[in-house]
Amino acid sequence: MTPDDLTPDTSLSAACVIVDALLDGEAVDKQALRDALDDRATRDYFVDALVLRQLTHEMAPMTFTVAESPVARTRRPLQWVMSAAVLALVATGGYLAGHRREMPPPTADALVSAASEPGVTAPAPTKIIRLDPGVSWTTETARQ
Amino acid sequence: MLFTAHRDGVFRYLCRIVGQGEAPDLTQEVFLRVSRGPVPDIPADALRAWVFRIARNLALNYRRDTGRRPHLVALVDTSRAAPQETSAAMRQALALLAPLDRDVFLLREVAGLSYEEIGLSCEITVDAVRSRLHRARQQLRIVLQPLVSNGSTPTVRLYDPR
Repeated sequence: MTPDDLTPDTSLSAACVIVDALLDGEAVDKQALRDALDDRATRDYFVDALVLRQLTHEMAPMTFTVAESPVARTRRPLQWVMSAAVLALVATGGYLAGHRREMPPPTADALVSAASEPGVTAPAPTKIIRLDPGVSWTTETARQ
Repeated sequence: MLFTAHRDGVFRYLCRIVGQGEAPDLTQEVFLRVSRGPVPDIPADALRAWVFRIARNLALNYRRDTGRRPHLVALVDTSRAAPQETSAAMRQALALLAPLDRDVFLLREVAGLSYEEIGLSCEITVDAVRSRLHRARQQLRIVLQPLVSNGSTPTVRLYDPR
């Protein structure tokens, strides 16, 4: 069927003008509307036009929504899971690596054996300067 | 301001012209264009018509560039159509309309523009809007006769899409 095949009587009758105006929110003359609706064909047209309006509204959503592509919809949770897995892997790996390199704590035996080794000598004592009260360290004699 | 006021209307209109997949991007493109240039100092109704003219031009360009003409395929059995099939039947029936008739119909029924606003958007007279709107309704009635007469919508409501 092509548009050429559709040859309805599209001439605008007075009754249809009234009904269309009513349907489209225009002001109509009351008596003219009564007269128009007296005709059965016009009443049918009126009801059918309302059904068409309803069907047109049901075709698609009525409010603006930014549709997400199906790919993006499936990819987003996957990205979160992947990120969480990588983080967990890095944390676990870091912990294990650190755990392996950690030195054992020194035991008491180890301290004793190190001090008693023959090659180990204690360092010479440092020179002790007695602090005499009343001595001025800023004077030349005191420095010498 | 303009985005908040008209985004849903533009989106609804574009959804039915280019499909639900492309409509969000095109809606954003409409308002990008709106924001790039100076907003004309005109009344609110004319401003709405101006926004929809941009939307309509973008939709036309999109369809021309992508070559996505509406497919003229066999209509589904609309007498026992499921909701998805109802939408498909509606899309197919809209595809059968002349492009300007379809635009006029959708600007009215989906975007809720007045006759004057549609006239400004499509650059036609108000009388031409009336005539094309009526013709579109009549043609859709014929194509969707089983759905309209015996469809799954036992109730109707008189409401203004605005």
